[in-house]
Amino acid sequence: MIRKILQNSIFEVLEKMFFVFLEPLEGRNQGYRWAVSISFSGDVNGKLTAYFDNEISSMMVQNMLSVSEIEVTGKLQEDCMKEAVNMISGDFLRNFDSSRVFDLSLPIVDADADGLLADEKDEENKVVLTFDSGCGKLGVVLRLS
Amino acid sequence: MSFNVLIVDDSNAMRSVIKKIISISGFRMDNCLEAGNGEEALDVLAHEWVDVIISDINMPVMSGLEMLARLKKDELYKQIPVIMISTEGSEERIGEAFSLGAGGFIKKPFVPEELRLKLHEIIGVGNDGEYEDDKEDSSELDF
Repeated sequence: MIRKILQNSIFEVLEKMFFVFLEPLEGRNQGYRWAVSISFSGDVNGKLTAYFDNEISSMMVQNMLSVSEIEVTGKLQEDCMKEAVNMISGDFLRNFDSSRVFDLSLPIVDADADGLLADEKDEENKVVLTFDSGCGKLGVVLRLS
Repeated sequence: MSFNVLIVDDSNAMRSVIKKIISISGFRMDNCLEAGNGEEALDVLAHEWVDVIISDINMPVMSGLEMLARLKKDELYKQIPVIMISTEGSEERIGEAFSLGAGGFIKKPFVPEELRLKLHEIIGVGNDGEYEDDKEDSSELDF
């Protein structure tokens, strides 16, 4: 159930705010450039980390801000990725249990993420999802505690 | 008649998106001011008058809810409508925003129409961007 709620939240945010349409993938956990993490606390604590490659990150900026590829800057990419992770977490938690209050941290960007997702696998209290958009890759890891 | 808006969000990209939505929705903006958190917003308000504030909640330095609470305690600022746009979507958090005096709450992710309708509802601007007050004035002139 958690996997389905998370996947729906990812689709909702990427489609509605960034006009990026994703296809779920098996594997393909290499080649990401950024890892953006956010933690949440409340009745349930956890951390969500999203992995982006340069292509999908650039496309998100272009679509969200209606700018051309040459106008995309690293700062805008970070901004959009942080906003995406913030929204995915908020949407997931709202659909997970809207009667509970969760406190979200501010998102943190790691700009050297290649290989970090390679060893991640589904476990109890951990969900790993990977997607292809046709214009780049996205991976998401959710840990609950 | 045009209006001044203050957009409060720590994301430069999100501020740009909100500004663009207001522009393409036909509202006549005189001045669009921006702040990266609640504290910056209070600094802006010390020097500029705005007709509506659109604010995120989860921001560094000062959150949107803390800013809202301070505004509503201030005789000068408490009449300014504040629309919260946030990922924070629990029933309790939304209730907290309204109890502090928020004029509206939009959950992220959102579509432009949601913001346009909320602005229309709060500041009384017609679909064509014309103020409801202006329309009344025009009809009086017709007589």
